[in-house]
Amino acid sequence: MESNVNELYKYIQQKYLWQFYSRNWDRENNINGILDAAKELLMTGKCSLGDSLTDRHYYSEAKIVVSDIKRDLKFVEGLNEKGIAELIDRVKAKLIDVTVTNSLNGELNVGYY
Amino acid sequence: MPLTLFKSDELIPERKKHVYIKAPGEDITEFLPLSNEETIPGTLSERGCAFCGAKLVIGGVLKDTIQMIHGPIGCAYDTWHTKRYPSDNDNFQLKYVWSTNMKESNVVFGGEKQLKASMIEAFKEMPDIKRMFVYTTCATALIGDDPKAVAKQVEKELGDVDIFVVECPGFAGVSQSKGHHVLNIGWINEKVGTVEPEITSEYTVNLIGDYNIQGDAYVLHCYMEKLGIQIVADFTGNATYDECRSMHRAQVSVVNCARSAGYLANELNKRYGIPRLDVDTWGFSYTAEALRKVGVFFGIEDRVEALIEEEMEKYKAKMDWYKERLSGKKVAIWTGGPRLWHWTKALEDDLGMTVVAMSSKFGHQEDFEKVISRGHEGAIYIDDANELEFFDVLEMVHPDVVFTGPRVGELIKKVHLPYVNGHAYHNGPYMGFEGAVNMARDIYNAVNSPMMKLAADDIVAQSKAIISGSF
Repeated sequence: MESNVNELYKYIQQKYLWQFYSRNWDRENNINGILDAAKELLMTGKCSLGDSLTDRHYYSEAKIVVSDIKRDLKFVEGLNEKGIAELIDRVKAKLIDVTVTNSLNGELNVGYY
Repeated sequence: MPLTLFKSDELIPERKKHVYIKAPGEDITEFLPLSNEETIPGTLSERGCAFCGAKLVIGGVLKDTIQMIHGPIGCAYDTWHTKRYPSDNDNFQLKYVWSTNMKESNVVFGGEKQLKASMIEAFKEMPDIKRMFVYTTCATALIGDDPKAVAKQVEKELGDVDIFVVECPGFAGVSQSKGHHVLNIGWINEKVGTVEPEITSEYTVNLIGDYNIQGDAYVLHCYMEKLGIQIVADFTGNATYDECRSMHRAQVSVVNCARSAGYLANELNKRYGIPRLDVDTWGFSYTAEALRKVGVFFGIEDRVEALIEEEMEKYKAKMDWYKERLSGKKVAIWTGGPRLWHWTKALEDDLGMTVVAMSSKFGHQEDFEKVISRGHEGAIYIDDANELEFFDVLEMVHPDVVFTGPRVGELIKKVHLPYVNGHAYHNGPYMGFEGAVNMARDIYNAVNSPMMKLAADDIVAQSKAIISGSF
């Protein structure tokens, strides 16, 4: 699992802009919202997000993530629901660690945009 | 590898905090170049000023707006015509430049009367134009002119005009970036929400951070039209002043340049609940991904796939032709900030090139987080690079081609390397599928042109040798 987590983490770091929005709260919201939706899509093929504009944003990003990783990271297909949940949760934690908690970006906590 | 001090920076060791070379196993929590900081005395910075960031980059693109620059004449000329952003109304914004032409007496006795006279004169000379941006510059900010008060007087006197004042003199920030910020926040505070657009589609977007460089916006607008999506406003490519006042009515903001206009996208989200969907609209694969995201957002994936298929049919073979010939070539990207992260993977994935060095004039640490995450190990990342550092980098990485602006481009030409204009392009548009092919063509032409090799030949010495019979 460790190597799978690292592989998916590196894949996401290289590809997606939503993890690097301007402020801590934006990044945390995106990482949680998009990857939770991706986890659900991978596990059930469906997404329980609503129809608000923010939900639609998370869903659209999540659908792209799922399509990309199914194509490029073959190990994902071999995981059961428990494995997918563990994978995504650990990647989320690592992303928050790198892009929020331990980020060296001095602007992340500025109170205004 | 930790942050690095170039040989040329031995006398300005502070520069070490601005240069990073990515090493295996490192991540952005260990090293991140300092950026958006004051230029260090002793370094020959390539940056522009804060006023330039507001006027040249964003405001000046609007196609129906007088751009009144309240300052000495040089501030006007130096931010006019150097970036080629056309419009579909016969390029009004490129044909004219406006200035209050401040002189010593205006500086001594105040420039407000001159400003008011210039504003009224401009509106009278161009009676069809009813919108104006007014910019302060260093001189007029220092003497304490109050352009907002003057704008109110002019609006009251003329009755049918609307004026936006950008109070961002050149010294207001460390680089162009401050001008982006001031204009964005001023616009959302004062103008967004003051015009109601006519909604003609159930799908509505704002395009944010596209400035129609050599027709980029036309490409994106064509895609949106084919998908049945209404663009409420493009901030600011080929846009009108009033379109940008109505941005509060879009369902989503599709953001390309997050550096110059991310502030506005964030505020639209915070104030109006309009989510920000960041995309890369440069690059073949990235364009497809951007369109697919928009397609999912609106539930129109079928239309998007049909559009992508149509574009692939037109351009994929051409892209492959260039990829075959450019694969393995080394490229350096020395531009403003966001193009570093927009282009590095696009050039590597789409064309098989290797991006060996990147330099940003006004990027923030957010931009370096993105580009270092996308870039490969061994690549050099520099904030606010100076000319001597560029020479060091050229010696270290020997690029086949450099993407940069005309100023640094002259330096590149002098060492007989080809450069492609990374700001205003050689022969754009560069966005979208069509644009990716144009960009590949310009790289191919630059890399294969015999000009630089010929320029390196010492024809005087050769002539003398021929005459003396020793050639």
